[in-house]
Amino acid sequence: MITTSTIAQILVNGLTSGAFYVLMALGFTLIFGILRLVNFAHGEFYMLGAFVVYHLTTQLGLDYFSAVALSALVIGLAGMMVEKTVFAPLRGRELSMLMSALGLQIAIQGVMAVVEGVDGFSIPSPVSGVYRSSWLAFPYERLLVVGLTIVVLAGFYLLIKHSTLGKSLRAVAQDGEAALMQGIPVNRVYAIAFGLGAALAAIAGGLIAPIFSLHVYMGQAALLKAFIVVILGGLGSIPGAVVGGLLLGVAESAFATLFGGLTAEMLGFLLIMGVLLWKPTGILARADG
Amino acid sequence: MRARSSRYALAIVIVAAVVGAWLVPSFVHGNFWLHIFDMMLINAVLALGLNIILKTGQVSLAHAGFMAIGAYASAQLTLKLALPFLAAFLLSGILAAAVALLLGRVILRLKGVYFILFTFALNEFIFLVSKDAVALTGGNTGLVGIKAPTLPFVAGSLQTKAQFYYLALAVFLLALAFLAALYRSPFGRAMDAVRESEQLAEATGYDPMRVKLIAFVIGSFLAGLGGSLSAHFLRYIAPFNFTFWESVNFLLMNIIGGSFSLAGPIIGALILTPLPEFLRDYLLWQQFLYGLILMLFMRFLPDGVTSAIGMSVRAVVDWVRTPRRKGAPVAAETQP
Repeated sequence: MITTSTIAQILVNGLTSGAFYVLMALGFTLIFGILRLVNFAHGEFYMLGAFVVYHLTTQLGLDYFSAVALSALVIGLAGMMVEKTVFAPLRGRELSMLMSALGLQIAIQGVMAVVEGVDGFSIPSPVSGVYRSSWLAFPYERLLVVGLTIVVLAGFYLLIKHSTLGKSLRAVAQDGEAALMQGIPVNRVYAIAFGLGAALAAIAGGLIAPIFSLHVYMGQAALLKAFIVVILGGLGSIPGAVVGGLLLGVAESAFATLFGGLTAEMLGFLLIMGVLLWKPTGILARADG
Repeated sequence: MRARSSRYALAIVIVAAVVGAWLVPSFVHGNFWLHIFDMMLINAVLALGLNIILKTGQVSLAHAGFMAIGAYASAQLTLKLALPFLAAFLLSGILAAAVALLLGRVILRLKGVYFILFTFALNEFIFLVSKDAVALTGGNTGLVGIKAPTLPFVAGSLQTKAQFYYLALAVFLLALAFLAALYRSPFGRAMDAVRESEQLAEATGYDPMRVKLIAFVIGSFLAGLGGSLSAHFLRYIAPFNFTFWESVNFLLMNIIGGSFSLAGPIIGALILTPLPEFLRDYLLWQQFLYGLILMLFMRFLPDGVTSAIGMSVRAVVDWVRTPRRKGAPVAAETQP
């Protein structure tokens, strides 16, 4: 029986997971667009972000919001260092970079499994309670995820469209060599792009941490979602990541409610297989790819 | 003259390697090492299968998925239909090849990173199906009680790891001989041409799509055979045998060994199969070390071990052949 409140619930859940997918996919697609790197380690930055928030709040007693911001900063800087040491020497060798990202994924997981153990942890949610109306029930912690995602998206949009750094990023994404000739410090832009992508993943980790428990292998599933979203939206396309993320979130939520969780999980794969075969550059990609 | 002598040298090395490999069970005792040698051969068959796909320039992350198709097919054909091993073995290869043929027509249009992403998703999809299609695959618990291989004209079944070794070695040698002949044929050059440039290959009169499809089908056939071998060797299969990481492993064997020669995937399988055992003393750090080794390889030996060996052999040969004056200063740096 499908009622208004069922549909509302589908949208609430879809919007929450969609917001999370958008954050994951945004950094992933940014890194691909600039570095031409399929960042298999993206899920690990998300996991690291969640763990930094965990330690900052439970051990240092920092409040949740400062912890998320600080975690994004720390992971962003770590990402820049990783780019300099691991990926910069491999510039232009796409397959080597991809394999190195796999190695990085395995290595980060390995270190964290030693340091943190493989048990689950949880972070108390900064807000509680549920917003209720006659047809809608929206838990505040989920509303918070959606709200913070919108804030981050707005900030990201302003950065890309209206700052010098954003202009450099767009220039390098279009043509690295031409950007170099215009005097843009391309190598620094590469590192910043990677750091920015890692920071976005860390924010996603921080936002999702109070809702789900965290453990060192949480990155794998998140990476998979980022993959699906960027294929849907087109590799390297930022609007595509936003649209693809929301689309996947809502579609999964609808399928999970109507047909069960398993069908919903299969859905993602069937969707991207369809998109890849029908229009490999993604649903939003321009003709020039 | 020189070409002929190096050809003789190569023949001697190959014969020695085959004889040495054949004698392994006579010298290696204890199930632990025999198990590793058996797994090396199975992995080598699978890595060779991926090599021919890589040769056309397509990087597949779905190799473990095709292995799964072969493994489940072979297990069920012997368990449910009571087919003899050899028939099930061949059919499992053919089934994997048929799936590759059907899919390949469409997915081989994808190039570069898109093909990688698609095959990544395909592997996850096959993994999910192997978990969910309980009637066919036994779901998460997998299939137990898979029979040891039997062969015509051989009494009993290949119960021990030593007996199985000869079967695996035979399959491996046949696969290797087939690929070696194929790589030397005009089709081998066609594959190289397609990898280097599809437009150029087309201009030379090859149909790139056809070349890629044939390579993909042959590679998947070998993946199916490898899956069948591993099912009847381990006697137990479950979805976790066929994860994305397994596909990565086969790719790694090619890259660490060197994907530009047939020796590469074999050396890769020889190195990577026992690697977890070597790292066992550092159990806690095993995963980290594995990742680190991979990154170091990409940084310093991106063309793999075989190319490094080749280069160092050449360097030594050059050094030996370079005439040197006695008493000449070796290098300027040695002087204070």
